[in-house]
Amino acid sequence: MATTASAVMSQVMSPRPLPEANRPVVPSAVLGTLIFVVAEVMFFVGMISAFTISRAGAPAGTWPVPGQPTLPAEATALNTVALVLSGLLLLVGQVLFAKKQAAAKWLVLAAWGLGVAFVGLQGREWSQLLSAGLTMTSSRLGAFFYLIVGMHGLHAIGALVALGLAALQLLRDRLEGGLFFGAQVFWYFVVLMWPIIYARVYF
Amino acid sequence: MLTTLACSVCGAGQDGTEWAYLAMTGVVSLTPLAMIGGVAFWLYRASKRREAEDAARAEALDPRVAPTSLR
Repeated sequence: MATTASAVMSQVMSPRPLPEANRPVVPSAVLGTLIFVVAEVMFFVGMISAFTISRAGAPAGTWPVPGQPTLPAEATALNTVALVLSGLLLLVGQVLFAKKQAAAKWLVLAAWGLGVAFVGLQGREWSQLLSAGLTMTSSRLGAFFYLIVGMHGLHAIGALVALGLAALQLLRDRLEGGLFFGAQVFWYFVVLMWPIIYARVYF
Repeated sequence: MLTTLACSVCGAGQDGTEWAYLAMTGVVSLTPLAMIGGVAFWLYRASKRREAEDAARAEALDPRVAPTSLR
């Protein structure tokens, strides 16, 4: 009993901070999102791998399928620039957020806006391709295109929801680091995955 | 004349697909290792940085505590 009391007293009197056993090395939201992102990267790698092998195995003159529209690589370059710029703005926003500067909220909002623009431009492109006759069942290119780019679009929408929530909390000055960093990890995954998909599928 | 194959794998022996199979086998095998290794290294670095921060804070509060480097 005396030993316990003495241990408690020495802790109370000690100027050293108590061990923060519950303080995680990285926020749980970040670690959870990272594990999710690792799984999702493999999901996309699997699809791109299947696409590459299918395309390499296509007999001469059948890729792209004659009579089917080609993918608008030049027009999609604008979407790509918007998305990459969004990632860069978020990166700068994160640095300013860490320094507790007010400009961080506007950069995060701008990054979110560019992300929304990317999804909107992708939607317009899909609508044009569908009306030109490229559908999921019209050719292997169509099937792979809508599957890979569509899944990326779904991830982009999910990440935009998370980033939008973070931006909303940032505007109200109630943002917690965990949500913001988790949304960031998700958004960086969407941003970094896109140039690989663009280079592989569109050209 | 168009050649119809039952599936993508039926053309695996062709020259055109050989590089694709080899390259994609490499990508699919190495990507998870690189990602898991990267995350593990990042966590290790974050853990070390946290230890250094805690030690610096303890030192600032109590100068009698020996610096981490002397322990």
